[in-house]
Amino acid sequence: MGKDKPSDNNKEALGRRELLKLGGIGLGTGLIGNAFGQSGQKAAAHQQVSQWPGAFDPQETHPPYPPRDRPKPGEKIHVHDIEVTIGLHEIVPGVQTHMFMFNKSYPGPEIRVKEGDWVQVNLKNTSPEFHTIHWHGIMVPMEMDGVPLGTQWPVAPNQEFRYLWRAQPAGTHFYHCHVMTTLHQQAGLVGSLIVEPKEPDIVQKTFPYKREYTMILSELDTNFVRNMMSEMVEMGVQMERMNHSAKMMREMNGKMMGWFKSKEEFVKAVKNGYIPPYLAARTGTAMPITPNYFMINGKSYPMTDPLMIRRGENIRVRLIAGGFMPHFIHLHGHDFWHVCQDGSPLATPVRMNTIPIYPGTTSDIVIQGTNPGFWHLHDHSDLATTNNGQHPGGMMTMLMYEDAREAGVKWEEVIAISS
Amino acid sequence: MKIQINRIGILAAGALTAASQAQTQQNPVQQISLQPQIEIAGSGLATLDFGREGMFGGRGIGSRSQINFSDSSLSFGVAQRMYRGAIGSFTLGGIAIDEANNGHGKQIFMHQAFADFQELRFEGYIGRTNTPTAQIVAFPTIREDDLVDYTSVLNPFSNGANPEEHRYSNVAGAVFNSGLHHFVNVHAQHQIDSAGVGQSDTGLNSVGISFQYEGNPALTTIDRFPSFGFGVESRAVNKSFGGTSNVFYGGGVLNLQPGLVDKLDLRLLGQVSFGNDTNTLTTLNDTYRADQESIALSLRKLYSPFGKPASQIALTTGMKRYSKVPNANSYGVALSYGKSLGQGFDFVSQIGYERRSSAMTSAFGGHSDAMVLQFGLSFNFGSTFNQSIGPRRSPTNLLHQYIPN
Ligand SMILES: [Cu+2]
Repeated sequence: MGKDKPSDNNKEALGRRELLKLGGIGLGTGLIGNAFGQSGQKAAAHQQVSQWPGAFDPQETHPPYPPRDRPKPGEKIHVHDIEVTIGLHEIVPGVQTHMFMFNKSYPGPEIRVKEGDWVQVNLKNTSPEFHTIHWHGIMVPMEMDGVPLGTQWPVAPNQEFRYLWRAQPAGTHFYHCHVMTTLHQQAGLVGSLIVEPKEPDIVQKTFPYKREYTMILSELDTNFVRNMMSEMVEMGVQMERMNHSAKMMREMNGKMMGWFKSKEEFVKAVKNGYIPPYLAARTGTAMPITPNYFMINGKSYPMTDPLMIRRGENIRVRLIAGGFMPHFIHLHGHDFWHVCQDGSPLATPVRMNTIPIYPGTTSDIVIQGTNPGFWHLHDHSDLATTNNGQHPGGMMTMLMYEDAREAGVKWEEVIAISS
Repeated sequence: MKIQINRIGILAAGALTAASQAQTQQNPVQQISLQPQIEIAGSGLATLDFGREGMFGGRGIGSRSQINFSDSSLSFGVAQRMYRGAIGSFTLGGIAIDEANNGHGKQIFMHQAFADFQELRFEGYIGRTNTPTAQIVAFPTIREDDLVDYTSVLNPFSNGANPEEHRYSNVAGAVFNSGLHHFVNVHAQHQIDSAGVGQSDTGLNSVGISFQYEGNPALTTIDRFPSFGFGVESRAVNKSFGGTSNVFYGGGVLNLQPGLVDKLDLRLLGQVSFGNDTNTLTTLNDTYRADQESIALSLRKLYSPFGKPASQIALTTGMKRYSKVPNANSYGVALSYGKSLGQGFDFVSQIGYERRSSAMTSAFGGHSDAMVLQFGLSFNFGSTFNQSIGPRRSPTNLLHQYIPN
């Protein structure tokens, strides 16, 4: 799930990642897996694990590398070209919506690098709106933080901006546009950003795994997005035309956009007739945002991709709260280990079956193949398991045992999809 | 079954309960998908009028108050997405007419009651709504029917009691478009025959075809030609009232000075009617159906500091002459001013003058001229509930792939 083109078939992307992983793991994994699979019991689970960090280091939050460094000759730079366009995205059959997209996909392409590597992202904006990219969780130099009018000018239509930063700290992160985040992130501009540790991965060492999944959780108010996007496109179209007229270029300035250098300038503009949006609200009060679609990697149930597992296998699932609502992800028939939060390993893994994911956070969990069958994995805040108010739908998928039949589960009798 | 549910949903909100009961599947969040989008839109407009004896602005033969709330309107619409992407809707609305002593419900003219089906390339509608001839260009006078003798294609069947009869009719129309920019409207109408001059007392008395161009709504203040159109209409007037009246009409908007802050635009509507043999003007109806040529022009200055409309001033003029009535001609002029006090809420004022040649005065109660000065307030508002449908011609739909939502 959720690598290059989440809207499409991800199996190939997964396959590649799987191969990479296999190289470093060795035989042990397979043996543990078999032990689980054959016994169906937790025989091997009682061994003490000593390599998990446990000890507390007050300097752990310090960046491993000085954030304001520049690349030195010979250091590896990963170059990504990311283009923002407007396109159509299908959430479930029959429900399409206009969205902003990173490289024509929602969510955007997964960026996956090693800790300490340099990342250069050439952001090209071919949409009629302004955008930036904020690298959520990355210790970037301030100028690369992607906050419009804060750390940089927003990237205007047909402009390019080059981001350059060092991938740190390791862990599950994400990136998103920071221009009018309520609209732009909701309307599609979000993607996963995985920084693999330079040291051997503690999660891998403790819970050897071959397969991992990224799940970006998000939600969308199709009416809000449609209305706001239309307003944005309208403004963009106007600006594009005004570029051809000296008179209109003089008329169109930052003040018309609601951009001011200081509070004083803002207050003065209000005195001179500038009407801030909150005073001009068309309906008395602004319409509250009420999401009607809830998605995993841009798709709502039944179009979400299942998590595949086998008996005895560990899978790592990276949960990314890429929206504006909390979600409470519950797995049927299993407990799992919560191993990392916001990228970093917890002091000790925590056992749970329902994990709260708050906006802006990421949580890594490890699911162990201990109970063959087909199991629901869903937001237990059940408003989010609807499509346009109708259950079932939304933020829900299945944990599916590929070897369920061998384990005696009569899968033919299970209806895997309903709508 | 499902068709029934749909019909119930459109007809009345009260029937929704029945519709949701008909749904047998479990529905933890009840009814939501069966609720149509509901829109309420209207315009409150009231002015204090001075000096209206002379039938300014096509206002008819009824009595008139100096406290004038005509053209206030309220419309209610329901809309719903169809299974395959089209949109179905129904709209019902009333507009206040200008007759002071007409109480007891007669003060409201039903100007909207129509059903509409639209998809990307086609729209069909049927019922009472704006006559297609009134859609080419709208003028910036305070009321739609100010200077209606020039700013509208007149209804040759009207007795003149209510100028609304020039602007609204019973229509069955089919509209085909290309790119949501070019529209061809083929229609048949029953225009209100209050004068009783139609060929029969029922059925369709007018057919026509019109073409319209609409630019991107984001660019209405920037495009040189944001909208224009033309059309032809054939109205079946009874032979004893001069016979069939045909009209060619055309007009549009020209942005003389495009811009977001300072904008100057020009509106134009020209029309030529022919085929009717009426050669004296003794009633208002005669003045509508006799062959004539007229033109309306309006110059408007819109001031929008920081991009938000704050005030406008407009000078609208019209003139006409009758081709088969010697020395029959008239002109009118209105200077209108509006200032925004809040979103949609404006102070409005207008001074208007009309003059008619002696060959016309008997139709206008002996008055050869009319002057009116008006001050008032107007509130244009609209609200959408249960929103699930966006405008078909949103900038996003026009510039990117169309989706029917
Ligand atoms: Cu953006």
